[in-house]
Amino acid sequence: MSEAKVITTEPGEPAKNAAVPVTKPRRWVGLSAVGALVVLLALLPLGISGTYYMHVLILAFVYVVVSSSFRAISISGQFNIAQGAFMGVGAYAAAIPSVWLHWSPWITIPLGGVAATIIGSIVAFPFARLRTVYYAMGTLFLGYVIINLITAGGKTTGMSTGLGGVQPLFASRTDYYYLAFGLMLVGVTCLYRFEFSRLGVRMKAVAQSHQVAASVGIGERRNRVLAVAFGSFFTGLVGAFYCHYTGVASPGSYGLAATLSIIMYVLVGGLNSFWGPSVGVLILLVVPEFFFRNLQGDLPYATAAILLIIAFLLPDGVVGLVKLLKERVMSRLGKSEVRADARD
Amino acid sequence: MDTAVQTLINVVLLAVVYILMGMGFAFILNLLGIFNLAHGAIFMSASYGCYLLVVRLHLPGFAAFPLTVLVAAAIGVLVERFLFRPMKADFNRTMMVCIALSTILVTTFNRFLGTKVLAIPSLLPGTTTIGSYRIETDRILAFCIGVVILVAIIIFVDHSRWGARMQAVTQNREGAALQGIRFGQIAAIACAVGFGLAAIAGVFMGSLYNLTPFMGDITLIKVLMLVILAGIGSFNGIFYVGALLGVLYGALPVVLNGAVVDALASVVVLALLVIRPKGFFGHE
Repeated sequence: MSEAKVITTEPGEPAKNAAVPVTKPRRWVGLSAVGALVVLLALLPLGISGTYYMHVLILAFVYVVVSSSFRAISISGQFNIAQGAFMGVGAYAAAIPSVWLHWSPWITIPLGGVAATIIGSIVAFPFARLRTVYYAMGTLFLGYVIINLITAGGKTTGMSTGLGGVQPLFASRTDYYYLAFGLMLVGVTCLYRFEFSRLGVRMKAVAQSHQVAASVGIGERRNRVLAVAFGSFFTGLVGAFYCHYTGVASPGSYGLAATLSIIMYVLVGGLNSFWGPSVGVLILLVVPEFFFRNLQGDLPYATAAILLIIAFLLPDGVVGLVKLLKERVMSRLGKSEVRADARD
Repeated sequence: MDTAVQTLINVVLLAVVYILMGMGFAFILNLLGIFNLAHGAIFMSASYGCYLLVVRLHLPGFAAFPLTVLVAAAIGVLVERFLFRPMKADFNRTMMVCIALSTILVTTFNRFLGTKVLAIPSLLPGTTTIGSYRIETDRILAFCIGVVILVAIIIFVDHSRWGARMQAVTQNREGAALQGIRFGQIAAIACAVGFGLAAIAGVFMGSLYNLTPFMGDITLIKVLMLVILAGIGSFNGIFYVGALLGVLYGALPVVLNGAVVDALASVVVLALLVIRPKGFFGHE
């Protein structure tokens, strides 16, 4: 079977960053947009303090980090269907010491990230042999095993009902909001730096062709394990935060369904661009919870419809659509139109 | 002794369910290169479909069972034509399609029937006495049907023209095309057979246990376990490993706690994946 390319890197991206003088004005536009968004989100609690919307936004911050980490793992060509389980590892690594040993949350939250990194990199070694579809199958199974082991842990992990009574961090939800916001800023910044660093470029090379990458001295296994380690650190970190926020860690919230929703966010937003996962969370989590709460039971149908539309018309997701439109406008403004997409 | 016979029948029935599911999944995976995440949802829907035919439309079981399987096979052809083929085996796009399909099916059955405890009524109520053992007649029937279907699949895969073509495409798609085997046709048949087998498995499971909208997820994971153990590209391996899983999940829970069996089995499979990523019977 020939290798299906999971990731296609934009060849222009690293070069664009290198050529600073040319791209400087456009970078400023992007940076100021991001800055405005950050300021807006930082001021938002003044308006919606203590409401349900705040809870939704905290959830959204958590999932932005988790799905961006999913993408960070995927740039090395690994479609990791155990992302939810890694989050669970982080959550339980924080919940168990918190409940049974009464450790402070400020220790257990980082501990969650470290535990997920360790578990992630241990299992990444054997899985680095599998590619594309087989990697996906293997990791789906891996997620099930992790949840199974957690469930079989007896009284320590609370079996299938979960572990309640995890110590809360703060009394007010606004404080949680700012912590989640901070974690998201740090996480997304690190993941951004990671992707456009030398390491990230290497990983994209591995994803495109492991043979060509190996021929120029980029080892496949090392880079893939590194990607998993890096991605699972942030996943575990916010997983631990989330379990301190809700006060429980239950295996049900880290199973296949959780992972599939993460995958939906990433695919709808666009797997091939850095902001894809965040846009996906906005479309599939924030918008429905803000505006369409009354059709809760029918929501999965809308999600499925969005997925089908994306699959048929916009394989690069919503961000891909924006890029395409921008390209169209640019080419319309510039010289005679050149059809950039030969997709059909 | 009664439990022993009962356990034996359970083992065989579970093995049949896993083998049928595994076969169908492997057809789609090997021939189309698609990781069919919706396989479990099809299995679950067939179960509910058969229930609806029998209970709501009052069809006799002997008519409802083949009808469910045929409808599932027809849906398989449609899904291949309108959902899988346009995706051109692109991993992300097929993933989206499969997730969407399975979301729609699970949500539908969960909304309308999910809260009730349902089971497909038995075809032949009562018990039969063989020697000194009393066994439910329904299970004996399921046992016989299961064995017949397994034999039929072996004949289909190993001794029929279509089976030979499928194996040819699995081994080398371009080579098969050069021999005049049409890929589109084979893909449609693979999907029809795959979905049909999932439907048979679903009806079996539905007549043995209660129905839940989420029964597909767990079965999907068992199927993955089966395919990983058997090795990708191996049809024969699925039989042996399916039997093994049947013993594991049919017999061991009698003596051990179910959660422990699950955890043990999954760790063993994971370890095997580390030692031998190609599975027991895999080639390439």
